This record gives sequence, C-alpha cells and structure tokens, in this order.
Amino acid sequence: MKRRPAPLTVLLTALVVLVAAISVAPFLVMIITSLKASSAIFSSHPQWLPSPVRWDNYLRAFRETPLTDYIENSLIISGGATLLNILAAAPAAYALSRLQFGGKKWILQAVLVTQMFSPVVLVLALYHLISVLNLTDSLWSLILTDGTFSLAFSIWLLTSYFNAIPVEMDEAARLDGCTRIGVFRRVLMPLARPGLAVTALFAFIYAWNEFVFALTFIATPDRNPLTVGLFDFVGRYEVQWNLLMAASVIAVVPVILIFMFIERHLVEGLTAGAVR
Amino acid sequence: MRRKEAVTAILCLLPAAFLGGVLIFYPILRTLELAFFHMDPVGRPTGFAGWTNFTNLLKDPLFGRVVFNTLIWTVGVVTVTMVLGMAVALLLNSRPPGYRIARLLLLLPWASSLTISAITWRWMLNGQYGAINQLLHSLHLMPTTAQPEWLALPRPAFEWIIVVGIWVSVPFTAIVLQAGLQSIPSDIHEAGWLDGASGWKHLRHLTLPMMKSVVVTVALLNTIYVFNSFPIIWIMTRGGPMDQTHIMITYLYKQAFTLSEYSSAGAIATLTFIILLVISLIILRLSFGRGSLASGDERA
Repeated sequence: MKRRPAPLTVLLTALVVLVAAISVAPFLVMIITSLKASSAIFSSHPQWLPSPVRWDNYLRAFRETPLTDYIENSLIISGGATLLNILAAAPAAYALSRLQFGGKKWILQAVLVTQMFSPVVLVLALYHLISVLNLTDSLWSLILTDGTFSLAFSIWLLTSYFNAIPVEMDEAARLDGCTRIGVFRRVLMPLARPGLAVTALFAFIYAWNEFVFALTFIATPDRNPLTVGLFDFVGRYEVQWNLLMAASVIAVVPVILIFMFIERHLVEGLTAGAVR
Repeated sequence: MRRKEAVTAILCLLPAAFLGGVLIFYPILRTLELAFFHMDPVGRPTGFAGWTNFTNLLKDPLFGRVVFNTLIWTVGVVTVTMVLGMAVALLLNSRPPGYRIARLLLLLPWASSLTISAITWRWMLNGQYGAINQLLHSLHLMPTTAQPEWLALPRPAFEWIIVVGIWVSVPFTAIVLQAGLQSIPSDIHEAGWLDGASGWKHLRHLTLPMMKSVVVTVALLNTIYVFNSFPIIWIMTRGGPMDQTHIMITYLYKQAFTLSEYSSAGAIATLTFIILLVISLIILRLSFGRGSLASGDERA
C-alpha cells in the first residue's frame, strides 16, 4: 500500500469529524434541551449549554406525562410482535432453506414483493379490516400488523442463516433417527441461535419504531406506544420541549444500544445477496 | 417421501402465509376494490366506478403539486443520498484517524425512529428558540433580528424536509456501501495501484464496476423507502402549510383519514404501487440489462 501524504490525512480527518458532527448534532440538541430549565429554553439570550443542569426534567417527564403508559405499551406491542414474527418466520425459513417443494421460487418472489408495499398504502384497507375484527384501539392490532410487516425481512434473514449451516449436520441427525421437525428443533434452531437473536431484535426495533399503524388504529391516548405518544406531546405540551426531549432520550437510547449490537449482522444480511 | 416433504413444507409455511394473506394480500385486494368502486361513507362498495376515481384525481387542483413534490422528494433525496453515501463510504474505507468513532455515530440517525428524529428536527427548526437559527446567528450568517419560522412557509419547509430525508438515509447507504467496499479483495486494489490507475480512474474503472450490484441494491431500497416515507413529512408539517408539502403517501393518508375520501385514497394507493413497481423495474433493467452505464467493457 502507498503511504498517504500528511495534508491528505488532515483533510480526511476533518471530513470524518464533519460526518460525525452532522450525524450526532440533533441528538446533542435533544440531550441538551432535555437538561435545560424551561426559562432557559424560552430565553431571548439563548445559551448553548444548560446551566443549571436540570436532571429532574427526567423525573418530571415520568410524573407529568403518560410516559410510563407509553413505555409499557411499546414493550407489550414490540414483545408480542417479535414473538409472532419469529414463530412464523422460523419454520418458513426452514422450509425455504431445507425442504424441496414446487413453487419455492414463486414464494420467495412473493415475499420480496410484500417488501415494496408501504404500510401507508395498505393502512386504509387494514383499518377497515381491524374494525371488522373488533381490534380497533387494542394493542393486538399493532402486535399483528407490526409482526406481519417485518415478516418478509425476517424470513429473508433467517433463510440465509439456515443456509449457512452445513446440510451434513441435518443428514447426521437424520441418520440418528431424527424426524425433519426434529432436525429443525434440535439441530437448526440451536445452531442458528445468533441469527435468531438478530432477527428477533430487528423485529423488536421495527415494532418499537413503527408510527403509522399506531397513529391510525389507536384512539385512546393512554394506549399509544412511544412513537405516537411523543408525537402527541408536540400538540398537547407544545411549550415543554425539555420534557419532550427527555422522553425522547428515554425512548431512543435502548434502541440505539440494541442496534449497535446487531447492525453488522443486518448489513451482512442485506449484502449477502448483493455482493457476488 | 417427496410427498411427505412437501406436506411438511406447507405446514412450515402456513403461519407466515396466513399472516401475510390476511394482513397484506387481502388489504391489497381491498385497496383495489376501493380504487375501482364507489363507496358509501362506511366503506362498502355501491357500484363499479371504472377509472372514475382516477380521473377525479386529475381534476383535483392539488394533485399536480403532490405528484411534482413526490418526484422532487424521491429523486432529490435518493440522488443526493447515493452521492453522499458513496463519499462517506469511501471516506470511512480509507480509514483516517477517528473513522471508527465516526462510523459508530453514523449509526445514530439510522437506529433512532423516524418519529423521534422528525420531532427533534421540528424543534431545531423552531423560529424563535430553535438550534438552527441559533447556529446561523452565532456564525453571523443571519442577523439576530431575523428569526425565520422555517416550517411555516411551503418552500423552505419542503427544502428542510428534504434535508432531513437525506440526513436519515445517508447512514444506511454509507454503511452498506462500505460493507460492499470491504468485500472487494485487496489484491484487486493493489493490482490497480501497480497498473498506475489512481484516484478517480481507480474509482471509475475498478471500484464502481465491482460494486455495481451493491450500489443497485442500495439505490433500489432507498427509492422504495424514500418514495414510501411517511413520518418525516407528517410530523414536520402534516403536508402543510396549505397542503403544499404533501407527497403522494401523505396525501393518501389525508384523503383517507382526514377527509374520509376512501375511493380517492384507494386510487392514490393503487397509483403509488404501480409507480413504484415501474421505477423498480427501470432501475433493475438499467443496471443489469443491456446498455448498462457501468458495464465493464465500456471505456470513456
């Protein structure tokens, strides 16, 4: 490799700092606002850093807004959707990875096509369906839709994880007298555990971040998940940006941590089909 | 034996097929019904409408603006995102000091929900107290007497929405492209350097052609995400002021849930899907069909 001249290194470093700064700036604003007193936010002499630092904004966000409800709803919805997603995706991915049957290609294409539909395109029809099923304003409506709309990507991801497990493992187990379902349960599922974890976390984040279904299906404010709940703040608590930003920090931190943990696997899943 | 295997396969696929059938494929059919039938106020079909619901859209004075915005939004965000994303990917791949931290911070806009990002940007763009105006004041780019309310006027509002669209899309693009760059075997790079290919030529004739399928995949995914994007616009402006910042997706939502115009919403939904399908086919054809731009044999 050639050595890089010093001025170029300086330039590249400066660019890296710029990229980092632009990525992080809104999150800094979020954190800084969350720690300011209301008087400091609405001051004619704006300050960059909060002084005094109001840590109690975080407590106030819990006490003065339905944040606890939102978090609870988000956890129930995301947990339920993840479970549903994995229970449906894992056997489907097993069939696509290991079993021989007609129409496999057709099914894979159908899975990809569903990826192209924006939830918004179907949300009106879904709203009618949800009303008919009597699930309006119920968390079940979101568990079902969130779990299903992340299904295509989960199946895709899990199929590639199963494909990476050598078929010899299955054959050995079959010789030992395992049935096909036994192979799936005793060989593939344990070996694909990291893949299952990544897929589950992906489904969890999808549901945690989902907005349009919750906006549409939930009518009672206390039943909202965090996304729509926080959006509600903007109208209802317009003046209390510090509390809203404190709640946003609470909503965003766990997801970012999970995401940093699984991101490499997601990228591998995305590029696996593309890089040849 | 074969037969038994097929039965097992069907059983394995059943849960996913059931969920997808009820919650995706049935709504697709229902959307088509909304688009091609007249509806009563509760959404029951009252008679075949043919193309009436579509031709009615053409009579809607706002619809032209909506389609134009959709075009600017999609082409603008995707193009700028691909260029910036590739630049950031190449930058990270050259591993200057601090690139690991930069890559980690780049994940933030991708990981956080669009909802919270859009809420934060809306706060930053607040005219009196927002960070954007504060920054412009302290850099002396704007007199402190000027406190533009960016989201209150159609044009600046739409421009800022595009900026936010790019801000949320670049990280995903850059990181996947960087993964693609890393998968290029290093001996190919070295061979290129030994041949005296440098800088732009290297990028143009070695890196980009090898990256073609990754670039196409990312461009396609971006196009679908951006065209279908809802939360950013809905949270920042709700399509306003005066319905001037709508794209088809947000306008469809307004037709359906603010105005209860089910047929009109169904027609827009059908139209968006057809457009998306055509765009995807064009992108795939341009990239993998004949006359492809980046095909290796073409030398400028």
